[in-house]
Amino acid sequence: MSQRLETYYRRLLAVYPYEHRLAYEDEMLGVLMAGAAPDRRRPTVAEATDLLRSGLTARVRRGVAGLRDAGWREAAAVAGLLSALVLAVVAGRRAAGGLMNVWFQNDTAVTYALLADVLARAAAWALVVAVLLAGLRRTGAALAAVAVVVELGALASWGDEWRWVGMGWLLVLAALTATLIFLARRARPPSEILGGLGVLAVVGGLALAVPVGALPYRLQSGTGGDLYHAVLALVVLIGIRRVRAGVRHKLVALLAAVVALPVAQQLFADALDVGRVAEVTWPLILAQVLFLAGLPLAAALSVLGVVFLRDKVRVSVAVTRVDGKSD
Amino acid sequence: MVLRVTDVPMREPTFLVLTALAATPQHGYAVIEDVAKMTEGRVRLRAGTLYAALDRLRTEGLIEVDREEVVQSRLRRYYRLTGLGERRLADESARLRRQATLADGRLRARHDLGGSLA
Repeated sequence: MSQRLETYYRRLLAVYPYEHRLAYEDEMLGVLMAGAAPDRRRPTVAEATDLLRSGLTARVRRGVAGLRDAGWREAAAVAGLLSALVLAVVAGRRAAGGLMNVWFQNDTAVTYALLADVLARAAAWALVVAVLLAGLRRTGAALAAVAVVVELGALASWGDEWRWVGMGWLLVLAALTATLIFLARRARPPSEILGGLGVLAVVGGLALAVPVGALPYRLQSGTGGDLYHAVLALVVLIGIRRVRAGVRHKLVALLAAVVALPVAQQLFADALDVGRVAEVTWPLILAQVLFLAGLPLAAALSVLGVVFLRDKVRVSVAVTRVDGKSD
Repeated sequence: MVLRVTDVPMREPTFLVLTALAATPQHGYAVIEDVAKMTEGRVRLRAGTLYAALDRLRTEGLIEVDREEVVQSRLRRYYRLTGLGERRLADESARLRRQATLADGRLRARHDLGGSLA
């Protein structure tokens, strides 16, 4: 009978964060069992409410404290640097392709005009990256805000509403990047977090993707191109591995959101068959917002969920071992 | 005006837990029983509330673990007041006393005024 009551109490105590359970679970079980009437078979409603309320409060408190901890700030610093690099590379590849056209075509006036857009965006984000690597975090945050304005200006300069739909993910990525860099303004500089080799791998891996933009499209997307991009991705991952273990899963969660953005854009375009849509309407914009906000959020939460479940299994194993020793 | 932590009035469960630990170290269940006795049954702390308070008080350095023992295969931890906890409890006790004295004085004045008006 008391074993059954204890099982109920243990289930209720599972709502507490694992650090709290490791510190107090056994002690709390003792108090709960000592306070229970001999014929009690289940916890009272008041007991259950108290444990659930206290457990959830402890979990929220630790969650909020966790968001403020140095780990999240460091993860935001590296994710901000990486996504600024991605934005510079995306614009840089377009610029490389445009410059090749200038090289081979006589009618350069039009091409130069088209290039102004991508060159301005590439330069703005490259400057943000350089400033962040120099350790000037507050200046980096200010320049990232300027780069977002440059992105907006570049889009507006086309005077084409379809441009906003097609480049929507870049705009969201720019805003996300500026936010990450702002949140990381008090973190250690990314160069310290990644180390020299880490910076070399991450910056080198992404920067080497730029010249590919100068190649004809069939070469970019062929087997050779895929292999080249896979090797570069591997180099970037090796760089990310240089981040200390406590920060790594937070960084992976943030990067999952970054990587999910172009995927969300593609899924949105496929799902609504955007190529065949005649005009930009509010429902279309709302659908795009839902895709671009929902998928990255789901990706980041999925990573955190997997990490949470892994930690929970570890706690269960640790608690089982403690129980085993005390028997 | 900047409020210090010590300026913020203590919540009743916190005050009662610190009072329960003032004279002698006690374990969790003994604190619950002591608080119920001190308040003549008005306050019966529940385990969740008690351990939220104990965890916070330990983090703030107002209490610490005195000793641990195993009773019927279960961990029993005794807590005691720290020097900081003693000062905070004394401050809170003095604050409550000042307020009670003030309230008593006002009530006396009310009765005196009532007597002279009558």
